[in-house]
Amino acid sequence: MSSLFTFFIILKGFLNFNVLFTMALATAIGMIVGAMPGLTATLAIGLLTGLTFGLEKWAAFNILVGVYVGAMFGGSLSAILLNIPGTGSASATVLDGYPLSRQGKAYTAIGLSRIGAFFGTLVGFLFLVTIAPWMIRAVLNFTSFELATLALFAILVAGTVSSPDLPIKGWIGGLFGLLLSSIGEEAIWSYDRFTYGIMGLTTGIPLIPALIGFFGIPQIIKILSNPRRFKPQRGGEEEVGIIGQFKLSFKYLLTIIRSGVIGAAVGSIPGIGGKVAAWLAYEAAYKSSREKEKFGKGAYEGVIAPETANNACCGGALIPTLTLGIPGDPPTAVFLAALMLHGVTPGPLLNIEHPDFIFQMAALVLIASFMVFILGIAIARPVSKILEIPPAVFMPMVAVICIVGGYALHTRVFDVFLLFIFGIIGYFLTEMRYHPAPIVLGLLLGHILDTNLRRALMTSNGSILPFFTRPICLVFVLASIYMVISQTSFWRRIWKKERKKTISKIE
Amino acid sequence: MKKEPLRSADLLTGIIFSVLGVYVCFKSIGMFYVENIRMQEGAAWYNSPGLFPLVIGAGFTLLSVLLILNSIKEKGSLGILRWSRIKGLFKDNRFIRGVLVVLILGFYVFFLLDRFPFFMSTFIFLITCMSVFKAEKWYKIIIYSFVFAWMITYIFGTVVKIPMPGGMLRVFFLPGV
Repeated sequence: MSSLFTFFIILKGFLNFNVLFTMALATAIGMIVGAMPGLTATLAIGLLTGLTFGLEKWAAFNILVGVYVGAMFGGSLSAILLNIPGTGSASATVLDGYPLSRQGKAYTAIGLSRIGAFFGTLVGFLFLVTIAPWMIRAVLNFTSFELATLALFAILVAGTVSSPDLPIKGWIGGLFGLLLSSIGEEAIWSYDRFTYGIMGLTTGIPLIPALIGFFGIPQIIKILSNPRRFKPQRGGEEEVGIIGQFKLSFKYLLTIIRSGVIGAAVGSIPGIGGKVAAWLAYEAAYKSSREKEKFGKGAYEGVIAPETANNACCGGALIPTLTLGIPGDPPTAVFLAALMLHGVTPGPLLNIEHPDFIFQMAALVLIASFMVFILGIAIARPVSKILEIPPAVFMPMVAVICIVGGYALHTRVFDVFLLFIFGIIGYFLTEMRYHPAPIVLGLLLGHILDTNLRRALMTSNGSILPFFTRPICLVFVLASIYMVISQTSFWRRIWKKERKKTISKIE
Repeated sequence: MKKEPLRSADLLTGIIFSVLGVYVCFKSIGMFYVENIRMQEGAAWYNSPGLFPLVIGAGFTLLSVLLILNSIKEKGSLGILRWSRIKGLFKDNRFIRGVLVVLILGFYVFFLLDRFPFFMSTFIFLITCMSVFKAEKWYKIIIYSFVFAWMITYIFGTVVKIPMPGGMLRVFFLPGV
């Protein structure tokens, strides 16, 4: 009861014009970024982390949460209007969102997506306020052994799930990120590793320029080398009004609740993210639907389910980020960096160093959900105009913003050089079907894995036995082994067969 | 990328990654015996700065070898390095455009950024990029480039007070740049 009271006091403190206006602006920016194919929530948060570094802590977090939640919804706008998901987590929305827009129901689909996003974010918020405080008490029992194995598990999961081709490429990406993290002065002996006398590398590879390089530059090169002018669908005569959209949503209330729980639960597992949550929710909606024949041709459930799930993922992904210091998905990986830059160290000591921090973040997520609900339909028409801007005009401007974003944090031109180099490497890797998410996750978690691994071995005098005898460690080790074995050709054949059956029924 | 060229590319990258992995392992082993951190042979190996990169380098090498084996199994070959294939790239419009983007962006980052005031370097970059890719009519390109370069310089240089690379341009009719 006292927790509920504390939460409402915190929420009341945030309900002022400055916070609400900033949140509204940030959510709108997030929606626009999410809607632009090639731009991601991760890139937006990365850029804004550097650009908002000089602001007061809560102003910066307000902006970042708004952009995160807005971008998750924004991806559905281009999915519905252009048949191209603006973010990876909107890839399932395309299947039914675009057919609906072809039937003259573009703004109905957007309205349903908005309602799904609103309820999804609310479910994510509920998960965050109920599970995170409990989890942070449990995590106080984690030692270096558990943190090291958890970091490795998160990288394996991210590599498996995010890889568009072989999972081994995702793992190679994760290890590449870990290798990059080992560059610079290491934490225990202050020994310079792989710096080759370059002063700029002594402090290690800076995360934000690396992230912008891996996520932003490849998209700029890709879109400019093959520019397509987009022609978004327009609204039609078959549109359903706002009241009608609500009635439709309540007809699928069970779908909303189930998708929200799936999204929040998947989000709370480190390294997975909204794309998997959206697809799982879509398949669950299809399997339990009484209108299976409509899926793939414009089923309302086919829009509501993935959008609810991917927005529920926002609150879910903040759980491991805040309690363990391990990001739930790529955007929260950057969010983690932003927290550390502002002097907040997520993990077991969060409640001691920053009491009520989790409730404060949850309050921002709750406000962001209302902003998505209010602004969602209003932003759709301006976004469809923005989508018509020729890429050859828009993408050079995005390149400039990326350069400024990479430069702003430490005001070093060397960081911009690194950004460019990682951009070129990232472009080649993307062309060869490597995903940048495990690389960035490896870069972020490398320090945690390195110091905790060595501390753990110092505690056990070099013995690796505690990794297999401590119960929580054993769970992570077995889960990691399962993760690897499940990607062998035998298991993958079985899994692909099941997925193909479901998707061929939909198509 | 289609499957067979993708597997050929995997073969090439697998070789590069495995060489990188072996190099990292080799350098990491050297970190166990460095005098200036007072690590002597036979002392605590688990405390060494070389432990983490050695483990990661070994894993990286192993996975790269598995990637090589998988690409050979799926009919990948080093045929992508044939001169006829490389020549063919220069006839691919997409490849040429990609190279142009990289060259223009590299020109902005490595040449313009720290030598000219930020407003000027950004303006030149935008005009060059939009003109090369024929974004719009020439006068629209100039207007868009000027307005955007000014806006970015003003917002970040003057409002947010980030010291922009190359400094600010002192032009009386352009406040903030």
